[in-house]
Amino acid sequence: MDFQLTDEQELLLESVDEFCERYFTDEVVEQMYAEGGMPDEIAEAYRDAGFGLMGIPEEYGGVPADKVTVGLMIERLYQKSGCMHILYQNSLSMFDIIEFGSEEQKQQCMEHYMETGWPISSLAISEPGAGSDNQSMTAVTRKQADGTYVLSGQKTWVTMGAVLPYTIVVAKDEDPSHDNRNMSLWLVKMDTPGVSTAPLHKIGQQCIPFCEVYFDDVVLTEDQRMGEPGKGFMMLMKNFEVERAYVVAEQLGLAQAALEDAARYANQRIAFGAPIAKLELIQELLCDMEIKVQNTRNMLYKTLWMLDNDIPVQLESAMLKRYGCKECFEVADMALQIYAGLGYTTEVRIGRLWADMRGNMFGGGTHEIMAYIAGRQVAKKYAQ
Amino acid sequence: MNILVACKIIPDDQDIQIAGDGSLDFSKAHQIVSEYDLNAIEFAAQLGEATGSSVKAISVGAAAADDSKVKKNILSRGVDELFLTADDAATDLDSAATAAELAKLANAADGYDLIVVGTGSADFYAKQVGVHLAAKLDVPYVSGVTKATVNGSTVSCTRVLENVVENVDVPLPCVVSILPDAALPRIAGMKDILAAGKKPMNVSAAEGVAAPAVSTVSLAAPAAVDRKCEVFEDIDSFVAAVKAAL
Amino acid sequence: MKAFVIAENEGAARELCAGARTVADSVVLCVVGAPAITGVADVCVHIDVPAGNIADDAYLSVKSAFDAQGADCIIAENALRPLSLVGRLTAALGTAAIAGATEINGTQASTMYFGGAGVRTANAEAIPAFIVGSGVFDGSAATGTDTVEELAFQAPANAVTKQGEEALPKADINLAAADAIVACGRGFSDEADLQLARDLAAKLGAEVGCSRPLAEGVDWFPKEAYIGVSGAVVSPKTYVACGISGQMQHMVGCNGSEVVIAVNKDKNAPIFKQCDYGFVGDLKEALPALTAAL
Repeated sequence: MDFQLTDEQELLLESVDEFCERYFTDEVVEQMYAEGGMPDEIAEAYRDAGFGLMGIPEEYGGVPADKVTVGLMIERLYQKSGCMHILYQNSLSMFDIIEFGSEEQKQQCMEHYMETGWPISSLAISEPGAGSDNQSMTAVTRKQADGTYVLSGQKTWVTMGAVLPYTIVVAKDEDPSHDNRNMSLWLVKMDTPGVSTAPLHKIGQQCIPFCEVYFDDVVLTEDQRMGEPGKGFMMLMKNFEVERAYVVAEQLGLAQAALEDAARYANQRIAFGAPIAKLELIQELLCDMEIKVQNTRNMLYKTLWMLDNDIPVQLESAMLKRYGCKECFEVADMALQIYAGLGYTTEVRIGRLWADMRGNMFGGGTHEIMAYIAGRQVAKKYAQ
Repeated sequence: MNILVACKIIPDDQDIQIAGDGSLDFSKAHQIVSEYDLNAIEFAAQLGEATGSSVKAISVGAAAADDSKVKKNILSRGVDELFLTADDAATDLDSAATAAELAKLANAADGYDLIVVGTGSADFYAKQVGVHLAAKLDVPYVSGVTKATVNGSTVSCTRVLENVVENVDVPLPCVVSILPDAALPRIAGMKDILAAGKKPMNVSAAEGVAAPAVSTVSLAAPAAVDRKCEVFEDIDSFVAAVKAAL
Repeated sequence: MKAFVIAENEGAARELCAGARTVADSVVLCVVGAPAITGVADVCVHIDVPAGNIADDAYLSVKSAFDAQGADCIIAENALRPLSLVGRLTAALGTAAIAGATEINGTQASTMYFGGAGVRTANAEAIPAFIVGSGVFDGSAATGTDTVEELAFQAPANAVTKQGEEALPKADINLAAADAIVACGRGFSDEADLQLARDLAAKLGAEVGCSRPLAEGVDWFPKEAYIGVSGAVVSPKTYVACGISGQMQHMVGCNGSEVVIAVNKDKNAPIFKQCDYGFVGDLKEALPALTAAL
């Protein structure tokens, strides 16, 4: 087993370090949390460095990269920037368009990205009454006599929905009832009549604006459909596994940052005449944090390696999401415990990380649903 | 046009350890490109792009400089080819000897029109190799350069000196030493990094290194300055302490 | 021993010539492209540079001056033109200069290594040549005559042509002579806040200096104000480091100060291990409080 990084991977990580050092300065990070977004300059620099193009096929201007390398990049990006921003997620909707979109949609997507540094679209999947239980979604398109379609419904938890020019909507074909399994993907322009948004005020992740999106009889044409009719959710699900791994890479990078902050603080905070790092209860916290970080890292790298080698990861990706997001949140929680009151403010990084990272215990699928996905398979795996 | 850029590969000072006897231990240090030489590489790369010229890097150092990662690092920053002399006989060279080795590489690199050097290396920061290289090659030299435009057989440079900004025309071939502000090093992306490994790397041993004119007698960590280190988080106590001390 | 000093600024010429006296019996000062400087050396060799040339190209003349004077040791100012000239001269003599000398002892000198991570003592095997920054020698000790020897500029074969020049605003800063210095670093996120440092400096009768990022990253200060390994090395009675993290490259420029006072919002900043009195907190709180109290 070889845990040694290649020269190329090490150089990539050094580039990520330089990028974070140059762009995610204390002032900028403060401003991002205060204003709820990320400066265009950073999106542009991320594009220029080609980080956002990793994993996109070369014919569309992308850069070949295996998933282990992309995961390493994401982990380091969040460790060194020390805040939960949008950057790695920008690639996710592009992956979907490149995989399922028409030639024209792909061109449009890449042109927009190369021009602005921002992806062309957000992803509108979850509904107030349907998260992982996608079968319950009620957004629907109905074909009209003139050959157009009318979309109606409501989506929520749409990352960057009010900011990006398009959104990819998954909606049922013709019939919103629970039994209809046919869904399609549609690339909808946000300024189409009938599309409106309302912001969501989250308790963390302030740098990533979320919103609800309402579709009131929005007229769509056939060329806005992405991929095969009726197979929309199946298509999105195809990418869920690698996306779970990437969200863990993000969570892991942030946990590493929290651990480093807490360990440094424990070494210099004096209580009862000595640094608190000398106290055994604090040492236990630090030890457990390191275990959680290292375990998550090992699981993450193995899962990504399996993906790169076309080994099915249905079980591994669900276990990784369940384990990694929760354990890494606990690292942040323990780090906050070490800081105690001093960290319980948005002025201090650990306070912000703690609130941000809590969201990844349900974003991309709750860890309960991950247990549901993984548990069935474990039962099956050992069935006699 | 052939543009060369000289850069120094040195141990990362972050990794230098101070041993119990005060000596400096470099054994765990990674090899990196000296900080200001990254600006020189970027300057040369931009000039190469502006003039459609090839950009080659030249470097001389100890055997440890022949490090696959650091070589790819150089080649991921807009440099087409690398010429490196890596040999323990080329350890701790003074400015003159370094320039002599670089001059050999400049000639080996299929000619040169413009050689860019950084302001100074992180270890010695002597700011002398560029001018010694110019002397060795018997070509003009200007330092403090922040801008350069090639016009036929000359390069027009803006040079920022301590008290004056000069606009000068320098006949090619020549050596220019740039200020760090002149070019912000690029952040190499995955594409550049992958391409770097496929570019030509010419690594050779040193031959006939000149006898040193300057040699190291001793090298040790500096003596620590004794300070009181009274640190306050309460402003009143801090002000009172400062007031008492002054 | 006869020392050959290459300098262009009067302050530097004064310091270097005074230093040269401590190692040599006689001192020749060579000034190129600047007004002759007298009273600091036994003789000032002055080379005027024609308007279309650059001082750096006076190297043939400098070499003949060196040969004519029969000097056997070189000391040069750490400024770009003298650096070019000493480079060409040492190259012609088959030697190389020891740069950043903080102490000269015969053919040997102590220098910074890796921005102060180490102290290196180097020995010149041939004609010793040293490059010396400001603040190493005491300029007030300089003595000399009014003798000036003019020497013609001899252009090299492939001379650089000067098309024009523009004087930079003269910096009214004299860090070397200051009893107190207030130094500003990256902790200042807004240029307007520098006034807080200036107010404190006015109260202390101090000069205002800075760390490298404020003179090179942003142009809030002239280069003369920059204290550190590649800038000025100072040793005032009082040094107030405001928003300076305490990187070694800066600290080697101020370690000689009698009292170091630090204000930084990051309690992990290395400066707090290298100061006498430190305050962890906001500059905007600390500086006005100090100004009011002192």
